[in-house]
Amino acid sequence: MFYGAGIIFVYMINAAPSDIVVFPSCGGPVKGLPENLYVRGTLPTGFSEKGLGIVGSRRISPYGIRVLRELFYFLKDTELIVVSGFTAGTDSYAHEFALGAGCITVAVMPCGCDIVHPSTNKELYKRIVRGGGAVVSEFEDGFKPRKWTYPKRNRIIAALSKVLLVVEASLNSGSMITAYFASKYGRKIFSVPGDIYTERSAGTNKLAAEGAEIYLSPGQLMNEMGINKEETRRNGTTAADDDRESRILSVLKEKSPDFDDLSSETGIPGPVLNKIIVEMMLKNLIFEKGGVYYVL
Amino acid sequence: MYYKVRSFVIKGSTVVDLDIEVTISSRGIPRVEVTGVKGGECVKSIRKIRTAFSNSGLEFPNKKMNVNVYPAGLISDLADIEFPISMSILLVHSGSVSGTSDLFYGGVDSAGYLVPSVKTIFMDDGWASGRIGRLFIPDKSYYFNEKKNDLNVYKLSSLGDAAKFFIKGNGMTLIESQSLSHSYVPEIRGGAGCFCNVLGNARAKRALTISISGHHNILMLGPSGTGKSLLAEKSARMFPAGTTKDVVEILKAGVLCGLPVENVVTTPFRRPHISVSEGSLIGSPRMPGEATLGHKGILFLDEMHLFRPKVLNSLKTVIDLKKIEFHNEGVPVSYPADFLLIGAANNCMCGLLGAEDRQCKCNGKDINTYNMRMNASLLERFDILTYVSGSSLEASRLKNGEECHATCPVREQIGKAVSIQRNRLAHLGISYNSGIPYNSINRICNLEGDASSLLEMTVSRYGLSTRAVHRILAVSRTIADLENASEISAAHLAEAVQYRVKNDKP
Repeated sequence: MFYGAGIIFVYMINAAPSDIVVFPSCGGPVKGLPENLYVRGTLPTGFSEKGLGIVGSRRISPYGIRVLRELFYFLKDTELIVVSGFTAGTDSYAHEFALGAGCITVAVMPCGCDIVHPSTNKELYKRIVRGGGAVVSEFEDGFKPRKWTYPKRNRIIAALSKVLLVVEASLNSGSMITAYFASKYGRKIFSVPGDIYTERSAGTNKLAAEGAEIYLSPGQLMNEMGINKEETRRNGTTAADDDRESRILSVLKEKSPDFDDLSSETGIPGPVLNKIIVEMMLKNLIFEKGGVYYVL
Repeated sequence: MYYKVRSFVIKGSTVVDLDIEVTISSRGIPRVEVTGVKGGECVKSIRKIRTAFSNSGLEFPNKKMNVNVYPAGLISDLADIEFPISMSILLVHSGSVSGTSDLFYGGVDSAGYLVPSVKTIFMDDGWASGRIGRLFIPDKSYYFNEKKNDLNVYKLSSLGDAAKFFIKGNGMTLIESQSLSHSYVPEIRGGAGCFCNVLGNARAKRALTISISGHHNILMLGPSGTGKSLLAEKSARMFPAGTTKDVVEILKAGVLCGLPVENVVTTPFRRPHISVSEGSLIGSPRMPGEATLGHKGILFLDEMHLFRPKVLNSLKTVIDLKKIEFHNEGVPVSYPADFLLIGAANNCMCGLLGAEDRQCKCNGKDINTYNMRMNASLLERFDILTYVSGSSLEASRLKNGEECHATCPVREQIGKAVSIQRNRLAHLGISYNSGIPYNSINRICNLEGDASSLLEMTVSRYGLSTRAVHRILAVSRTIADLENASEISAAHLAEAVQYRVKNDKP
């Protein structure tokens, strides 16, 4: 285990003590789970049908963001319960996108749920509670995160999920622990395949090799969750309004260029490209991170 | 016997009146007593004046004298007012009474010659008109008379000349100084080199061109070794030539900071080290700092995240006000600080995040901690955010930087955009689009139909603050000016939106 080295960001909220509720029913009898949970917000019901666990690396790559964006584009207003672990990276993106798509989201904390950890997610914490979701923990208020509380937290994420999606994970990561518990509890695991030479995809590729379902499109996961929608992949070229937009999209499918490269690859001069890019960003076709453009 | 002359002292960048009063008593032990001055080297100054008198063949009165400086406590040494003190002693001793509305300024050396001063440049802008009679300053002093007010300025070379003029009424060595305004204009530097010498990075060059044209603060982010610092250095060379007023202001700022006049350049480029303290970057009531040295020029903060957070935060109000204000011992002190801020930084602590071929070793927590050093409200003060990737295909194709001839096209483009802005904004008293005040922004930045709908969509998509919208409009105005367009088109606005620091969470 390699959790917890370095500084832990902790932020206390001065508020009434958390509610204590009986551990919600989830798919199948599961041993070794706590009897009660501490809850802030409203704990939804129906984890056995609607629980979707999402875990992954704290250092999420643009590839991982793209997978999540596409997934939640189709999960809009599906009333799923998105369960994740509130830490930076994949977990935060999962909560954010879930809120954006109108899903209920539940954050499972490795500490007392009055502690915002990491503290950079203060705003997210408030929005999860305000959005009808909940922040839950098996630890009492004021309990600080320790190395050993993270794997315990992970087993709760696994238990509350009907389906677990592992976006990116290195071999010894917490996501692999969550996947281990999920398979122990008999949950369906979807693993997003990646580059075999990349450390952050080594775990997900290993899961796939060991028999997890290989995640290829949102449709697969939606079938498993019992949602019927026809589209399964955003087809970039049909979304484009004109020739120049489709040229940009076809370049972005291959690689992630910066502005200068995009301009020279598509042959569109800078001043014109600016306008097209902003329009495409407003249409949610592409997005920019760190000066580099990605297709959605 | 009592006599009073007038002089002044520079507090901050403002001129404060001083009265020098000399009283000679007919009784008492002969000595000179100085009042109204805080501590300091008064005795030595008086000794020097005594020597100067004797070397000029003038008689120093051997009586009990009191020299009073009013208001009291403003100055701590007599170095800059030795000339007015000498003159009042001379005049009171020669039998003149009550005083004069003439103003004297300058120091005296022991041979009796007047020491040229640079601080006299602060006496322009109509400060003196109608308030004083004649102005007497040492020969070779710097004096600019922008407004050509009807003030008579005389330059004198020695105490002996002054005595001849005042006592014998003999004006033979006087220099009528009205014709000598603008006697000093610093050389325009930065002739050689421009962006065109830097490889690739078309996007960053474009962003800097807009930044320089409209005086928009710019932040360049990118992995190490991609040319951020080089681009910033070159931008000093791309700076448009300042007006005479700008040149005077730059000279004044340099003098305030104690810079020798010959070292003042027309495009200041200041690059403080990351260890700089608040006092030396912003300044203190007694001494202005780097921000003032960068007045009307560039303040370049390299590795911006590594500056002390306190120092970075103290920059915020300076960026907004374009000056630094203190209050020192009852006197408001203000220093000019209207600089173009160019920031450069890596994306993470190790400096490799975002580099294509090199792997960054920082973890998410490190990157968060690093980014926290530049808070959102400071980032918001950058009108333009650009990424310098350095991996551009263009750079790998070109073997050398483009040859740039005597007239650089980019510099010409900047020059044109600047003159358009100066014409348009002259009545507001500003020269650049970045200074457009809130109440005039909608009048000056006319949006074409589809541009205003694009702006509305952007605001709702990214949840931009009012300040952000104001800044986007100002930047798009500059982009339109670079193309000499009267209205802002959707393409201009789109480019400005691209440069804006946006929240990239969904």
